Amino acid sequence: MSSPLYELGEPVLRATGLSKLYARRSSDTRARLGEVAGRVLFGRPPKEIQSLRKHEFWALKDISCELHQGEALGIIGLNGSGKTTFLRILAGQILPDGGEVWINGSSAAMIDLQAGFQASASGQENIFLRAAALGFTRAQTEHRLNEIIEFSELGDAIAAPMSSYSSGMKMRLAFSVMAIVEPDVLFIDEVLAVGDFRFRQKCLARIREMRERSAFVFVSHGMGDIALFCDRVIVLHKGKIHFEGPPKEAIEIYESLDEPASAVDTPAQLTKAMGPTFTNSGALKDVAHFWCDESGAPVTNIAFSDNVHLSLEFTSTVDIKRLILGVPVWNLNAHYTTGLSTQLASEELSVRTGERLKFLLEIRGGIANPGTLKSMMTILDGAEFLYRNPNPDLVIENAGHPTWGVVTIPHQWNLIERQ
Amino acid sequence: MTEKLLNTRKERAKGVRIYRPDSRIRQNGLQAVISISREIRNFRSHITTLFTSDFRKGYRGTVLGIFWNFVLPMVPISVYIMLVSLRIMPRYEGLSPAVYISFNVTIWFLLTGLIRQPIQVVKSKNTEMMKTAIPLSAAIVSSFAQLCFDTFVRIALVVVIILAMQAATKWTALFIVPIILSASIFCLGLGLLLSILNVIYRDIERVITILLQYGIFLSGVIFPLASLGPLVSLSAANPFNVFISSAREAAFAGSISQPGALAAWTVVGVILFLYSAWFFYLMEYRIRGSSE
Repeated sequence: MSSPLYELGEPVLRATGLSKLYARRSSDTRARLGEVAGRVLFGRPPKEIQSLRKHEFWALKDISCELHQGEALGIIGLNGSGKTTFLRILAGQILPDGGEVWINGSSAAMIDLQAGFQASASGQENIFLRAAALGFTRAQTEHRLNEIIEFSELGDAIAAPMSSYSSGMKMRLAFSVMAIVEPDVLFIDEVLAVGDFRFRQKCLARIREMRERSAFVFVSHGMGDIALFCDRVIVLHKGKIHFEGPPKEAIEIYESLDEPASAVDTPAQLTKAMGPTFTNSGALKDVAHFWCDESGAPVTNIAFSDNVHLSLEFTSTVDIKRLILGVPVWNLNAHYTTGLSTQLASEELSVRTGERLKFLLEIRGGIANPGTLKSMMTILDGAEFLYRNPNPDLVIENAGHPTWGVVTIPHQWNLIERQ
Repeated sequence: MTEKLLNTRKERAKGVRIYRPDSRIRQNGLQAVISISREIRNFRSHITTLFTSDFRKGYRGTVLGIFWNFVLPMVPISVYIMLVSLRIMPRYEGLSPAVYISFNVTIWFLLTGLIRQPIQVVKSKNTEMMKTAIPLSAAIVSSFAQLCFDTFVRIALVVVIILAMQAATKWTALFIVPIILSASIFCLGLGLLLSILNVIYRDIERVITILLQYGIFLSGVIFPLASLGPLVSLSAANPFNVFISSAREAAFAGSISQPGALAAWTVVGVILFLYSAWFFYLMEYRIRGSSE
């Protein structure tokens, strides 16, 4: 989406040099608050923060941006990059420790949809509670009550206590109340993962309607939503603006960012998923396997669209009646992605003692989506494992366009009829 | 500087909001009180809904239903009356112990509630209020609604006890309203100040709990300070004793024995309230999310 969907109007929001300090230990937070309270008690403004304590860090540092009427600004970044903190400051929920936010007009925030609900009260009571928090009077809420209940599709469950709701039902109710607001600026944080697929589509449609009358600041990990709704995107990384520009470029940059180790499943989970390693040194020797390019030169990274090869060499010290080679593949989240095996080959291959064999596995480019591939090299004689050890990691580089899931299956859309 | 202020005023008139680290710092106590009042007015619908919801939560699922919301506030008074009724107690200041205690305890619970509620609300609802962008003042006021209801129930009980004991009231009972108002301002000021400090220094709530446990006996609530011997000399230094005894004397004696102390504590209360409201207003957004 290179050109804005809407003509840019007057700025409705301006953030200048925003910074926010956090501490990893609550005692440090309280100590800093104590300093501020000590100054405020005597009528002095809070001191500019000169140095950080041991456990303090800048959650945001020197963030500046503008939002214009009719514009949708996307904020993307890895976990812990400061997206929600940024949104909370823009929404006026917390004060910055540096810089300034200027907002011209009304605003509403869909940041934590379930906050403020009372578990023991009914869904209907919670509608009034939530709507009142958004500034609606009881009469105004009553006027739109049916609309809210209808949108939520909760039916008779609306009279049941909120504690009996599933998390999906709670989210549906929360979104339905929020959907009646008509602010000049709307702040949205990861709230589109609402309910089931059908309800999510309904929410997306409502967001699209709201998009026509409100400017948006939109935080999401869903790159499809970002590409769909946003005119401009900021990539936050470690509390700073890493990139600001068109969604397509921003998404490319976001996808090239290194996910911190804590953001993925633990290495232990991955090790467990990949299973045990094994070497029958009495059967094979001088085993070598690595990812390489067409010339056979080892590679660790490969472009999304380039063919990738796996080189395997070994010497057999026994007779192998039925050689089977296999490469099971996982992604970093320990999901078993695919398996590449000779088991389906029409001809069975046998090996004599002392033979040295060299194989080259070729995988067509443009199928494995960007990310790091973990894999095993397995060599079997029928059902008996002779060798099972990990290949080096292979990084598939950024595709230059959005991709979905872990693989892109070769496909083509054909227009059959148009009336 | 003047131009900047003018711009700010013009912008405010246009619906412009500005958030920065020194937000609100230029406001004085009176402006802070006005701003808090405006917040409460803007969120009045939410306050009402929250109170209604909390009120219903008090009896939801019980067999006797709303009955409990009327009975529970009377329990503390009835306990104290029962305790003094187990033995023959002298009449205090010409009043029966039941009248003396029910009158004092009702005021005591109102005043201590005005201190405790802000502390508890800020501690428990700080993070939730941050997420919903509702000012803490609105949450505090909704908790006061419950306090007011409980107080009205207790007042009704006091009236019944006064009638039953045929305690004679004087025309000066009309002064109870301004006295209680002064006491409430003092205690609310204290509550607002301590609610913020408790987020930073978490021992405060525990210290307050201990002080108030002793305080009910050291403030002439259950029996007169005169019966505590040397402590009577501190009667004017204890604002609770001054406010409660003044209200009681206005109701039943026809005169106030410590008008000077009452006036002094009223002035202290107003100053404390303005200062605390200003401090609370300035610090509210800074403590957000830091209670956990």
